[in-house]
Amino acid sequence: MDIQSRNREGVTVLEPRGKITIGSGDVALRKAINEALDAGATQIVLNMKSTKRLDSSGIAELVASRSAAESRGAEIKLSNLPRKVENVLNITQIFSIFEILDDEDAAVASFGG
Amino acid sequence: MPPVHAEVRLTIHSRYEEIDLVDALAEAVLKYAKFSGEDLEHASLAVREAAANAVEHGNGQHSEKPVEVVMRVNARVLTIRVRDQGDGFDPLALPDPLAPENLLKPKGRGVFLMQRFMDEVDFDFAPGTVVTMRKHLAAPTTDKQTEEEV
Repeated sequence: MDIQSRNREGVTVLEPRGKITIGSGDVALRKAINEALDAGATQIVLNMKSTKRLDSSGIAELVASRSAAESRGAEIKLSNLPRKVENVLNITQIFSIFEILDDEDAAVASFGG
Repeated sequence: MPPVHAEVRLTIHSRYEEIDLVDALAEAVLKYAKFSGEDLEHASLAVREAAANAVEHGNGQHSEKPVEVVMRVNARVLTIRVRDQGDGFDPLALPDPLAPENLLKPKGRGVFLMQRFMDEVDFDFAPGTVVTMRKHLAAPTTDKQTEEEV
């Protein structure tokens, strides 16, 4: 799993490509979020359109990332959820602890420039 | 036409990367049993969670400890059994991951997903931890074949 990173209007967009699962994708996500926070990012969008699978370890990293961001005055929003990822986030009610936008443009714009 | 009886066995080391083998095999067996779409996705994720629990918690990531997986399908039900060498746990004592006080806790959703995505999930603890999950095939059948013990 690799994670594409880009900056749009001061918002850091991270796009994980592949599986966010135990032992690989989850570690990569943690590293990417921490690097973004270390670089001073305060507005982060996780564009998940290319996320192929999310297991409980992936969910754990999302939750931990949210807490890490919050502790540093940053916010993470999610966008472009594939149906099966959205389904898992709904069942676990993780959707209730993130702002989730339909697409990346809306997520970037939601930070208000 | 419902699938005929089939059984596959796989033993992996307690390494995270080998969980992908269980995942791939589960997907193949589920497709053989005519599961598709959301049912396939959910059930294969449940199997992944069981294997991950066995590797991480049951065997404590000691790579030399095996995780044994048996997948059996007959005309009525898919049964998947995952065995590790751990000391077990009390599934009834697991916190509810949907409770408001637990939503921000990173861990604790693996067994929950297994129970949500499979029709039956049972635990047995001697020897090791054995989780048995069952998913009923959608199509009714008059086949009198009964599930044998794996």
